[in-house]
Amino acid sequence: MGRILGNRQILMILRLAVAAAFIVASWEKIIYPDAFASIVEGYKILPVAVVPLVAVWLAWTELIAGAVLLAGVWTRGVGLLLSFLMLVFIAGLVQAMARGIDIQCGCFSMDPEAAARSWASLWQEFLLLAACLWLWIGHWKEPAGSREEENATD
Amino acid sequence: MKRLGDNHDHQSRLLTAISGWWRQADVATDLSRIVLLVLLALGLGLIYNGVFIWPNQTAPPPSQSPQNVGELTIEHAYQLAQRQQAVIVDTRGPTLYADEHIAGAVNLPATQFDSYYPNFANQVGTGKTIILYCGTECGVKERVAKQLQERGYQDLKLVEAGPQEWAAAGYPVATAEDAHRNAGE
Repeated sequence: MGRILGNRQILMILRLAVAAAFIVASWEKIIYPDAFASIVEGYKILPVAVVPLVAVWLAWTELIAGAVLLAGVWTRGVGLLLSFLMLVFIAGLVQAMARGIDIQCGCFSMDPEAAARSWASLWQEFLLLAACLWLWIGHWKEPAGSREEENATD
Repeated sequence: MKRLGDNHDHQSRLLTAISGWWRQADVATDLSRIVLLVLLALGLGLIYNGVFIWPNQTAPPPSQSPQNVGELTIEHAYQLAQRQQAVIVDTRGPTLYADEHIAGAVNLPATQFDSYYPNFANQVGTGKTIILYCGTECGVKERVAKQLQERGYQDLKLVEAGPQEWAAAGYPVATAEDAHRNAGE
């Protein structure tokens, strides 16, 4: 199990895929902050006054985390951060659906055709959470801040 | 037989294991870098999106601003709507609209403009007076106004108020409960 979790090739693929996912997800949120804030407000979790600040912070965190992952540095720390963020996203989605709130996720797109969330559609978020956790655990024993050696074997 | 010192030994081993894990995983460094990244995100967000965050700067950039669109008071907007001389349009997302909206308002969300517009155009002709709202300190209605202007709607007004301000002025709002009640009748 440890060999799979620490496999360099898998970790590199995961790192690049997660980086791309978060960079793409962040772009529209940065371009349309008011639309994303509207979605965040729709979750009915945060006080309205802090929604804009949180929405902007989330969008930029995703972009910077994705860029750092792409660069291949601080992978473990960023994996931990993104795992935490994904847990928060999933918890927000689950509580909204449990309360019967019809929401757009706002996770990956401000697409006007994006459907409201359903329980079955949570698999995307869980998949991304698993990838982030894998990145965190897979780099467990590396010194903090080491750049990935893509050519190194396990 | 368990001795009193056993618990102390367990705790010491646990603390040793935790500190060993902490050092091995270099968690402190990771956490400090996470904090740095979070602060960087906040700083960049405040700088770049500062126009959006601060309430007196929520207007969209000039290229997205509608031209020659006046602003109405709540009272004037209500009077026009009461006399059916205007259509009130809610430019917020469908969730917020469903939760609470100005009674009689039509939803045309900025985030789903293209999908809602065809139905809207069937209901509301370009010759109608349209009053758009999204709430206070919100620039979304300007964007929808701009898009409507591009599609031939010329008589557009904005009202700087949302359902809460409308209700505070004593005018009716529709809520999700009202919708459920009406559906059950």
